[in-house]
Amino acid sequence: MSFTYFLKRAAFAALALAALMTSAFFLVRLTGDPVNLYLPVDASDAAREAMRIRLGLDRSLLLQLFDWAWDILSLDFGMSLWHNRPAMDVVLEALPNTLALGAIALALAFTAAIVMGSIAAVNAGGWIDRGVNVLSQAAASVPDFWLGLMGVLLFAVTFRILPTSGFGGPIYWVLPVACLFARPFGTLVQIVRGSMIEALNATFVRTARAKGARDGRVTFVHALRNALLPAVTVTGDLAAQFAGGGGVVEVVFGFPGIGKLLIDGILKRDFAIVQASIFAVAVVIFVINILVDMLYASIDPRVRVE
Amino acid sequence: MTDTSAEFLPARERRSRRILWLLRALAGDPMAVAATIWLLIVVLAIFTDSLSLLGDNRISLKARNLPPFDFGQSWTLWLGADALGRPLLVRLIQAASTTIGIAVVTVLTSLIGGTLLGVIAGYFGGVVGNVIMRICDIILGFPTLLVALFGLYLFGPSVGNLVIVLAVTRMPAYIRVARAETLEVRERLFVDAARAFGGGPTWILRTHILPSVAPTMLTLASVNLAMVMLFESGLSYLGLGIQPPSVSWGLMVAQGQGYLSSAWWLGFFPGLAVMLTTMSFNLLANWFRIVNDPSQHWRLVSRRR
Repeated sequence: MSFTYFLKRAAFAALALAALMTSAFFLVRLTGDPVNLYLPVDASDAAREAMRIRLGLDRSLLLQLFDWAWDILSLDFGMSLWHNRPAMDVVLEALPNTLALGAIALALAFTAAIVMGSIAAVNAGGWIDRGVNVLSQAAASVPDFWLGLMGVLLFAVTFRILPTSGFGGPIYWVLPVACLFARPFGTLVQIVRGSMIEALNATFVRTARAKGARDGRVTFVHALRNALLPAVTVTGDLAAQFAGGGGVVEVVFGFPGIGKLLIDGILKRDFAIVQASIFAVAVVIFVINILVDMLYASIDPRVRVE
Repeated sequence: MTDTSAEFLPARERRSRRILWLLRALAGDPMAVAATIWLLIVVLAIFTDSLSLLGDNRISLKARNLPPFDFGQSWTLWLGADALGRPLLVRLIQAASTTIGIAVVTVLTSLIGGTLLGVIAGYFGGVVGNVIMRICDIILGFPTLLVALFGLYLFGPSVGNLVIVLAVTRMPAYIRVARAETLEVRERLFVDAARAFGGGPTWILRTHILPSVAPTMLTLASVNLAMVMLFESGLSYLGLGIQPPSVSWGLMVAQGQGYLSSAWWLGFFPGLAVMLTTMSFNLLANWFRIVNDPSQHWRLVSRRR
């Protein structure tokens, strides 16, 4: 059953990916004519025409669509106009950076959130709870690009211990990770704390206490397992968002990830880059979604996977 | 209204008692009180601005990059002035109405739409549920930022488009959580019982599923209010949201970025305003959730003792 479920999901994913890519094809062509961007304003019409033919933009939209679909099926996304290299190569260079950045930030946030959220829920209403509450609310509310700028101001401009931007050794990862960590951490602490309080008030916890289970066991075995469900869902969504790149944060720090690549690609009307990155990101996100669904079913047997 | 018959009195009394109880519950939570005060200040500031009582927003070369906390100046200059000598405090207040208005409208749109679609997808499942979830997957397949960029690129960066684009990109998150919660709730005994008693799907959804799902959805909406405000700030920061001469807090951070090492307050205060406001929304929504959840009333009650 689980294999047919997996096949079904994969088929759905392929269909959705096709829909996604087709809409991306049309959206990209609606955002503007790339020829205008690559040639000066006073370029002759002949030069424009030549550029258009070189890019294959002179043919009918339907023909372009068929050609494009065939290229994609053979995983050829064409040359990037801006980088003058195959687009997929550029994307595959940026993707690991983004994935590593997102994974590190999210893993740290998830772990910290579970610990802090559980501690807050156990001490609900107390001083620790209020402290965690204020901290997590602040973390969930801070604009990441502003946090980045203030980090630069403090650690790069004033103390000169961290680089302002760029890419290289581990030291270049500190500020981007810190900026991306804040929001998921705050969000998840709230979710874990809320569902944990609910779980601790549930009757099965009372039963566990009544039969003499110790406090630690009740909290971390009986309650936490049930409280994890919403946290896992939200983490899945956050992971899906992060796969698209830490967009603004990557721009702030000049971090060579997929978010910066996409924003640059859209602003420079680089079709190949935009398509290739959408494709790569979509594949990553579908994998994440399937993983979250499977994880969900394994944590909560009541959720029937049909 | 003129005819207050006897049977209406108990209801009115109940209502006034409920309001009193709410106020007392609010007083028991200092953070919620602080959040309320901050939001009241912001609302009042927006109100005075809409009546154009602030006046003085002219470019003044004498006040270029005036540092903050110079209390000898007029009160509008207490937070300093920007690169064109406009008082920062007045600019902050003008930006507040844009930023907050966009966030509130967007969240309401995606909360209502997302909860309804998610509950329907979770409860009925089947073809409708699958279609809803697949559309969600497609939207989630686009990075939120990309959808937003596309939308704003296609339709132009206007306030209305910003709201639509942000509401559509945030909705899948609501749908997924509402569906997950519904999947869990519909397996519970009381729903089975309601079904066994012959309750129709609409009735079960309204009286059993929606109230069980609502607390989680409100928590999500509270966090999302922050998220949407941050997203709008981010887009405006990138130069793709609110366009000058309009102001939003994100745009102000971007304008202050160039002066980071010489005039830190230009970027600092707008960002701080975003943080404090979203935090207040969060804290209040949190408090609201506890008040609306009978199983958590003990927290408010025990605090009063």
